[in-house]
Amino acid sequence: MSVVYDLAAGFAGALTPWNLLMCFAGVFAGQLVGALPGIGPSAAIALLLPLTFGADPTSAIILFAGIYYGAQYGGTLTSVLISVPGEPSSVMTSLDGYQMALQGRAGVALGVAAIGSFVAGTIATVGLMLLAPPLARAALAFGPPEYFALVVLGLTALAAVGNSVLKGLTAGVFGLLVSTIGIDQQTGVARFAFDQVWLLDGVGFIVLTVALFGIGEVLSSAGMATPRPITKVGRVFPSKAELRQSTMPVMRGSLIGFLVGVLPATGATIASFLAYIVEKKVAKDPSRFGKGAIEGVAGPEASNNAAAAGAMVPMLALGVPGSGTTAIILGALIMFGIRPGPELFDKNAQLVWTVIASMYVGNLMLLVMNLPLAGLFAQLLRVPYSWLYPPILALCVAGVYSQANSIQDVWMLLGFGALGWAMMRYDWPAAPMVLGLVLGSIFENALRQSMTLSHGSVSIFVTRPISAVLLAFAALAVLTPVILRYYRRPVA
Amino acid sequence: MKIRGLGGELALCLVFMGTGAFWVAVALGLPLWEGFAPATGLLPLVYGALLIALSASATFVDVLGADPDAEAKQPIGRAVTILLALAAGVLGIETAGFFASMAAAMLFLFAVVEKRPVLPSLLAAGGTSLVLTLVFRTWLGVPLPSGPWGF
Repeated sequence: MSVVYDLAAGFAGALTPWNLLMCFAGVFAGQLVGALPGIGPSAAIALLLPLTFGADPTSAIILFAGIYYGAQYGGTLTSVLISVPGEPSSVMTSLDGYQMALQGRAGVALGVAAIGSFVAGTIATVGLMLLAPPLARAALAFGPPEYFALVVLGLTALAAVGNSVLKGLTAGVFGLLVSTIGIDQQTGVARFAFDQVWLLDGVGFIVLTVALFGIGEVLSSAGMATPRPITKVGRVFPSKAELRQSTMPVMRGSLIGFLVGVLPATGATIASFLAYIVEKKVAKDPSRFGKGAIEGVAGPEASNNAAAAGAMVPMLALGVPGSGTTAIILGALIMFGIRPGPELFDKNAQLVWTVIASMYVGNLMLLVMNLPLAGLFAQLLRVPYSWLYPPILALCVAGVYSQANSIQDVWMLLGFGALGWAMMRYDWPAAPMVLGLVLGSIFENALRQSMTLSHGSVSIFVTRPISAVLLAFAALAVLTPVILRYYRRPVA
Repeated sequence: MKIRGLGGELALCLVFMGTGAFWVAVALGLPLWEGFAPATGLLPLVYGALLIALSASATFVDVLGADPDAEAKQPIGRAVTILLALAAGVLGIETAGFFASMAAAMLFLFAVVEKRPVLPSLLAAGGTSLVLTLVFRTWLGVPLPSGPWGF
């Protein structure tokens, strides 16, 4: 029964006028950035971080979560209307969605996607509500060695999400390395500050995040976004027959998406691929797929939305992000002085339940927005990116300057922004770098405390069962892609 | 092994390796162990060494092992121009103020880089900079630098 009471308290918080406004702003912004090429939810959250600094953490996390799952809806628009997925998780939607658009059924594709996303988002939020609290309770017994192992798991799992584990790990270690700049919190000794007062506080989370996901993304997208012809939206509400055809794909997609989302090192993209494959396998006539099959839209769309909510489970309960965007939300929690992980449900229960309740509200808002307003959102795709990115760059500069009124921070923004652009250009993931910076001090403290507990013996990490299991999962996250890659290598 | 076309990514790997080497060199001058636990320098030393090892491995496995012609990359000129325009804008913030320097940088990007018509570019650059200045100064209370003319 405590879940019901907690959720009721969460709704009481989520339904206040200010939090409703934040929820609406989040899902609206998410819908926008999901639809607009050249800016994703990670960049949007990074850009809004400076504006929320000092604000109520609950409202800010409601806003960020709204952007995260709202972007999954927005990504569908570009996939269906111009065959350019706004998000990687919408790639599978474009296969049949665009074909439906060419057949004059773009509106139906968008309508089914919106309804499927709403159902999946709601089911996955129920899953999040039921799974995260017991997981967090079980993890309450964690001591420093387990926290150490959790950070290792978080970093390796996120590193394994991209195309190359080695590139992901390099980025993660670079983030850890950057986290050592400034005063060592335990000893008070300045490290890598080079007698510069402005470096004593280290590199800010906002500086690095805005640089990598704001400046880096703009630089890498500025030359690429070219206008494409947009198909007409037409009738949005699906017929009874179309709804019947979509029901089971949505249910299967929701289940697949949630389960995949919960697992670290997976995410919405893999979930949508799996859902599409499953739909094709169970279809009576698989040859329809790729030619405008409505199941090819309903399944993947449901799964990518369910995965977004599923990825919040390890992030909230364990402090292990399942995707790049949840890594930034995790960083935002730490920025607000909230320690993510097992203690979150205990010490910040009101925040967590308000955010969960807001996800129900946000999904409803997205459904209402998407069905009647799909045509209006489609018009946004006509705005050339060349009008958008200069103001985004100016916002990055103002936002980072506002953190400490420091022009040095702005120069760091440009430096890390150039690095972020180079990384995106060559397909190096940036999210592990942010996570490394965010978790660096927790990692160092947990290591020192563990070593002190064990009188200097590293065996403490493998003799404690939970720590050993978490480290084994971390090793698995790294080794699995390497082994798969070895076996997939073509024989000469 | 084909190196042509991989120069940029190799340079990126070298940046990571160089940073790792620098971290190792500096960390060796810091205390490494104290009592039962690592002191200030140990983790930076480990991170530096790991960064060298991982970026070197990535160089051999993912960069040199990749097909350089697999994917055509966008020319870098445009991104460099945008970055330089932004850097010029940042350089002017403390002397000309946030409003003027950011408006100038955006005007350059709209009118010169993107070849948009001058009047709409001027309106968009000035309007955006004005809105940002007002939001950050008035709403958020951030003392964005002013120019000699007071804004």
